[in-house]
Amino acid sequence: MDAIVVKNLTKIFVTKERRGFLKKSVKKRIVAVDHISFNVRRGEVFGLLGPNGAGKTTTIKMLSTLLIPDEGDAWVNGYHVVREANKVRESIGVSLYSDRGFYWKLTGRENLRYFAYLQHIFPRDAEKRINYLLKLIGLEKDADKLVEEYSTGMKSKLNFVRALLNDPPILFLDEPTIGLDPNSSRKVREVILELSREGKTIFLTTHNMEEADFLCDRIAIINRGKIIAIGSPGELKNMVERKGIIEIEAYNITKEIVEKMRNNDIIGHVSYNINDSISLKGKIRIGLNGNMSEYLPEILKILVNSGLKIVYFKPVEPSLEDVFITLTGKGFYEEEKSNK
Amino acid sequence: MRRKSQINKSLLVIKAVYVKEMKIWLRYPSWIFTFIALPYMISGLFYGVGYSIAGPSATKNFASNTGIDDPFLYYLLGSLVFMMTTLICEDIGSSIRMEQMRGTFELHYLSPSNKALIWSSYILPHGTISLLTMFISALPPLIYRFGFQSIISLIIGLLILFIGIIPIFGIGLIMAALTVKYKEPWAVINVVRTIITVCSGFYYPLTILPYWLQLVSQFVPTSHITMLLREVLLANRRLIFSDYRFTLLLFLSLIYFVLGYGFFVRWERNARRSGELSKY
Repeated sequence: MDAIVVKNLTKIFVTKERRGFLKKSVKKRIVAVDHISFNVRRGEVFGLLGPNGAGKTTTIKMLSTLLIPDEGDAWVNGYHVVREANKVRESIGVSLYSDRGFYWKLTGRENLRYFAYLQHIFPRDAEKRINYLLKLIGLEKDADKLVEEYSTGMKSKLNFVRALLNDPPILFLDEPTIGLDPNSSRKVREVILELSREGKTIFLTTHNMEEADFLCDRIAIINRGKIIAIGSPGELKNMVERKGIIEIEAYNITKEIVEKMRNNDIIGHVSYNINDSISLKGKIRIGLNGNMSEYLPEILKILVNSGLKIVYFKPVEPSLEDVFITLTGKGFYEEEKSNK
Repeated sequence: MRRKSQINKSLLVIKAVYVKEMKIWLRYPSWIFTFIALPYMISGLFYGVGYSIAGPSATKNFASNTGIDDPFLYYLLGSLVFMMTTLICEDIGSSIRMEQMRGTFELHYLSPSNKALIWSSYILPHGTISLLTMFISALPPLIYRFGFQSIISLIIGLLILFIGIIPIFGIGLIMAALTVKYKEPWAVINVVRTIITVCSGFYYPLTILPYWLQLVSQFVPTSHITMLLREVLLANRRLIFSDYRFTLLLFLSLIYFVLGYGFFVRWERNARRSGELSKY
């Protein structure tokens, strides 16, 4: 039996759009999750990858019983998420927010104790489990500080520990490394892999493609509420035609430059992500319509005349970003911007 | 065995809520002084206003209107019930809203614990705080006025207050549901507080109200709490349990609690459908 079974799961939200002082607000239906179906095998790390606003958190919330679906069914650990919600809750651990969801005037340990008791873990077992988990994540020294004194990274770790309190067979992690510094992110990833080795099923959402590639046995790519591809990272990358892909780091990346590149016959697709809005520094990914060696002189000419200040450029292997572009025609981060 | 384990789990949840709430309360220590001192300040204010209007015959007039010859204690007890009502109603409403803003509210729904039990467990820490404040605040003037025998009256008074907490908690739950739905705690709290204050006779006898308002006040539990407390503590009546007001208070406790809880559960169900649990 699979750990998670999802059939035609759908969630529609009704929002009100305000338009000025006197005009009546307009109700709008948003299909956050649109008839998605998939299975998660026992013991696998399954990633739901998608840009912000794609429906990842809504999916986790439906599977963890926080939201009632409008259509479809889902079973977690064999229990139906609506009809057997309490059984589902006993089987899962959920980490929803990176740094929210704590009582600031309680210490980290007191917060964990509170949530452990709500999970029906009796005091002696709770203390043992809390001490073990704090040590595992490297938070034991700060456990007796008030949460209001915690940094964002410490709160994220505490949040992660809370999800593990009841030693659940299935873990739901919503963006587990968001807001963490590189060291803490690495620590959390190590723990996820360790838990996976112990046989736990891990369902994680992320919009970090490298993370999904590194952690997940299988990935479902979700966009605008629909699952557009599902498979192992290797299977997904095989969906991309083996043509030349170039990654460029440059300054002065503008929409106009990117559009100009797109209009070129030898270029199949271009995606970009700007990291610094002042210097317009970022990365561009160009998918060629042929092999690298075939188009190298022409691509060099395009780059020299583009107006970009190039730091480096290099040929790269297809990534999940290229899979996303192949499937949607848009770059991952561009899709995030349009969702916003 | 199964039932015993269920009872133990329930007790664990009650303990969790009690310890958490008490710790949070005690880590904001300034409220202790406020809650003990405020009833005296309010009572002093009313006493001063009354004296400045009625002059030297103020106390005599007061006794003939209310049947009680100590206006200061009369106001003090009224203030204490007023404070307790405000404290519980506002605190349930605003603390659930705070839970929502902090992100802790939604997390309760990830646990297999009965949510009815979790939210009802808040009665105990809130009750402890209210009764303790009441005890510390009211004891000195009562002993000064009636001697140490007033301690027994005060214990009966506390019992009445404890029963009174139940319907106030029910009202608090309705306020909490409205607050988290409309995201404006003070709008809801102010309306409910005004109705309760007018109809409870915290600072005046209910007989001065128009007849229709006196009828309305029969359905406001705090009016009975205030009256019963004055009967016990100021008129020294011990056999208060045979009073019709006591029976009515028990009845209203049940009604308001069931009503408040039902309202909240209904909102909860809708919130799980609309995604409102996490909206802030």
